[in-house]
Amino acid sequence: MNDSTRPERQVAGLARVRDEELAGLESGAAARALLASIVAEPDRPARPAPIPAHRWPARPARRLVLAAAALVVMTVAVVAGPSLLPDRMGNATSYANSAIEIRQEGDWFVARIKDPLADRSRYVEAFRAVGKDVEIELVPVSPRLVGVRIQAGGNGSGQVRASSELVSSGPTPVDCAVTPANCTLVIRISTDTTGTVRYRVGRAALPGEPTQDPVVSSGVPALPGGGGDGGTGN
Amino acid sequence: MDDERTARFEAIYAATFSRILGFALRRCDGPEDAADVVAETFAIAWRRMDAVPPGDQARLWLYGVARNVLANHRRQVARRHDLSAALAAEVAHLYQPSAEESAELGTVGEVLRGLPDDDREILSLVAWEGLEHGEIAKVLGCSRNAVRIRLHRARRRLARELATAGVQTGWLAMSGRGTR
Repeated sequence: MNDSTRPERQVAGLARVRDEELAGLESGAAARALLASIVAEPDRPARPAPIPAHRWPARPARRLVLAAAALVVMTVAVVAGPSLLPDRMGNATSYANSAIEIRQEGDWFVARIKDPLADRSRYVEAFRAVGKDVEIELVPVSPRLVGVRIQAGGNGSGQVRASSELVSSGPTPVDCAVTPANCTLVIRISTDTTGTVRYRVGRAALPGEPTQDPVVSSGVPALPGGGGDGGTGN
Repeated sequence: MDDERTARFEAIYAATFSRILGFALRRCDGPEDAADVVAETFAIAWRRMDAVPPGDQARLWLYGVARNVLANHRRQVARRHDLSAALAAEVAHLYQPSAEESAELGTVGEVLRGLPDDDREILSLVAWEGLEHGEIAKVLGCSRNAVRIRLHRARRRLARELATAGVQTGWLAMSGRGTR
C-alpha cells in the first residue's frame, strides 16, 4: 500500500477548506476579539473542571457567542460559495480591500482600483470573492499611456465580457487623458462571464521609476479597448 | 504569573487558531457552528491551561477538545432536529454544493456519511488534518495500536463502499482483500 492508493485520498477532496487558506486569520480583528474575550474570563473555574470531555459545558458563554459571531463573518467569506470546488471561487456580490473595491451594478461587476501600487494578488483575491478569474497587472508607463490597456488575454475558454477605462475620481468630470492622476481605473466584467481575464494596464510611473511602455512593432500603439476579448468597448 | 499564563495562551492561540478553525469548518454544517466550536475550544483551553501540553502537543490536545465540543454540539443539534427539520428543509438549498460539485464529490461524500461515526472520524483526521498514528492516539485518547487497527478497518470499509459506488481506489487489491 502506498499513499496514492489509500482510500482516504478520496476523502481529502471533500475538505471544505484547507488550513493553509486560513493561515493568518489569527491576527484578524475577529480572532483577536475572541482571544480578548477568552482571556477576560476568570483565571480559574469556580470548581476544578472534571477531566472527562463530555462534562464540558454544553453552551458557550454568552460573551463567547458574541465573539464567535464576529468569527462567523470572517469565516463565511472563506467557505462561501461553491467551497468544495478546487479553485474555491466565491459568490459575493461586493468585495473591498485596501487595493480594490468591487460592486455589482446590474449585470456588471464594477471594480475600482483604489491603490494602483498594491500587490496584484490583492486584486485577484477581490475578483475571486465575486467568483471571477481576473488578473490585473498595472505597469508603470509614460503619462500618455496611463489607463491604457497594454495587453489583454485569458485562456480563451468560456464567455468573457469585460472592459477597462479611466473615470474621474471626483464628482467633477475631468478629461482623464489630460489629468490621469485625477482618475481611477475601473474594470467592468459581466456577471455572466465564465472565462478568464488577464489585463495589463498602464499606471503612472513613480518618480524615477523606469517605464514599461509597450514596444510598438506594428506601428499601431495599443489603445484602450484594443484587447481582443470581446469587450464592450470603452 | 497571570501575565505568563496569558502570554502562553496567546502563543498557543496564534499557533493553532487556523488549525482548529479548519478542523471545525470541515466538520460543521455552517460557519456559525464552526465559530462556536472554535470559541468554546479555546475557552476550555484557557480554563485548563495547566493541562495543555507544551509545544506541538498543544495542537493535538486542542483537536481532542474540539472533537468533544463538536460531539456535544451534535448531540444538541440532534435534540433540536425534530423541531427544526421543517425549517432546515426550507433553507437547505442555501448551504448545499452546486450540481457540478455534487457530481464530482457527491458519491464520496455520501459514502463517507454512510460509514460508522468512528470510521469517519479517524479517516478525517488522516485526510484533513494529516495526522500520524501517534498523533491520532493523543487526540482520541487511545493507544497507538488501537489507532492502527481502527484505521485499517476504516480504510477497508471505505474502500469497499467506494468500490460498490463505482469509485476505484486501488487499495482493496493491494491490501489483499476481495470485494464483497
